[in-house]
Amino acid sequence: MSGGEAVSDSRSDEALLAAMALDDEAAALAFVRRYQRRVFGMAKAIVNNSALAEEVAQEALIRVWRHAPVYDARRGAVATWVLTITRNLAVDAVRLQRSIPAEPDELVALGLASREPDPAVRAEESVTTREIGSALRELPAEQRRALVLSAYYGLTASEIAVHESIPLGTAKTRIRAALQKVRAAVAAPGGLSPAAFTGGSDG
Amino acid sequence: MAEELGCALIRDELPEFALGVLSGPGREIVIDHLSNCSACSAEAEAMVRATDLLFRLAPEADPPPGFEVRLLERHEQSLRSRAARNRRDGRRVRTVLAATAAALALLAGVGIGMLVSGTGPSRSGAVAMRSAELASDGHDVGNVVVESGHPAWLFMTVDYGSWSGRVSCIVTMRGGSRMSVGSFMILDGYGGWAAPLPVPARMVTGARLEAASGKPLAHASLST
Repeated sequence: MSGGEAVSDSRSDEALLAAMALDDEAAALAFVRRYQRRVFGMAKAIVNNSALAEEVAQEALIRVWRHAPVYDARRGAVATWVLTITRNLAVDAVRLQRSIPAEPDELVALGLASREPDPAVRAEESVTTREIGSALRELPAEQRRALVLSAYYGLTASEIAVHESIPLGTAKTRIRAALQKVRAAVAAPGGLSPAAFTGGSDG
Repeated sequence: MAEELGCALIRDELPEFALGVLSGPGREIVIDHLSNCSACSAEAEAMVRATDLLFRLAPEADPPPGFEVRLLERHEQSLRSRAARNRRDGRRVRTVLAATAAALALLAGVGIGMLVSGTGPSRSGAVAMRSAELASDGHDVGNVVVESGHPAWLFMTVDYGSWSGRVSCIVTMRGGSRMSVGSFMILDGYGGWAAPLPVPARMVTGARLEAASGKPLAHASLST
């Protein structure tokens, strides 16, 4: 089933999680329908195999369901929590096969191309998403690569240093600089700030 | 100066913490620091927000037909496996408690025997046990048993949802003072632990569990 169109539930992500913690199956179904395209999409982008991606996506959503009672909003948005679980499972799965499943830039392009433009509830989100996409594209290539390798492929700075054949300090600097620029770009009034992309030195 | 150095070291790790790739002791150290440093905590929150935004770019794709049905079946199966494991663990906990009681009875017997025969340190009498439910938000999440003796012992079993992580055990004493008596791991909601107490059992009025961040997880009040 494709995502979201069959059942509409206006409750927030947090409210659905709270209901799932009380074994509310309807809430769980609404949550799954809200997130399955993103969870499956991320898993598939990382493992590059539909059958394995479904296995990863199912396990991720089962874990979200099981861990719903201990979700801590202070650690980030629900979407980030769900996608971090998905990413970690996908990375674990793919590490058994290859070191890096796809080019980081391909994943960024795939993410930008696969967004569904409508529902009204996501209008504001889609604006910010465009800004983030622009922010990523404007980053120096080596910083974008480090950030995507860490965010989407779960690599630590040490692993990136090995993968990119660069010193550990450089890997850390690239990740930090890229993350700060994404943050600055979205925080700037009116969206992107050209100043956010100056000074691409990565030590 | 030392504090500033600590902040500098922690901030070096914050991007990886926010991106969710920092694990193990490194993650625990960062969480510990953040619970005591508002400046680093604010920086971490900003980086976590940036990561939240970054994940909005995660690609989307329709899962194969039947995805939901298979997911619900899998969840049902997961619940059945968990129920079976709970039954097994229940039997194991009862076995442990029975063995503990037997061992304590034996210790008490040995103590009394030593007292009667005039060898070894004198003991004032049989070992006493006090127990209480460990509660979290009104839910029963385990058990605490305090045994008198030299030294006194604390036993704890935990069944706390699916939470995993290191927890500290803090005992409360008469007069309200508190003391950490050790830490242990909870894995997928389950944990069991025992430790000698540095104070007489009669002094202990309660016990609580705290996450590495200092967040209280559960507590037990022991009647005196």
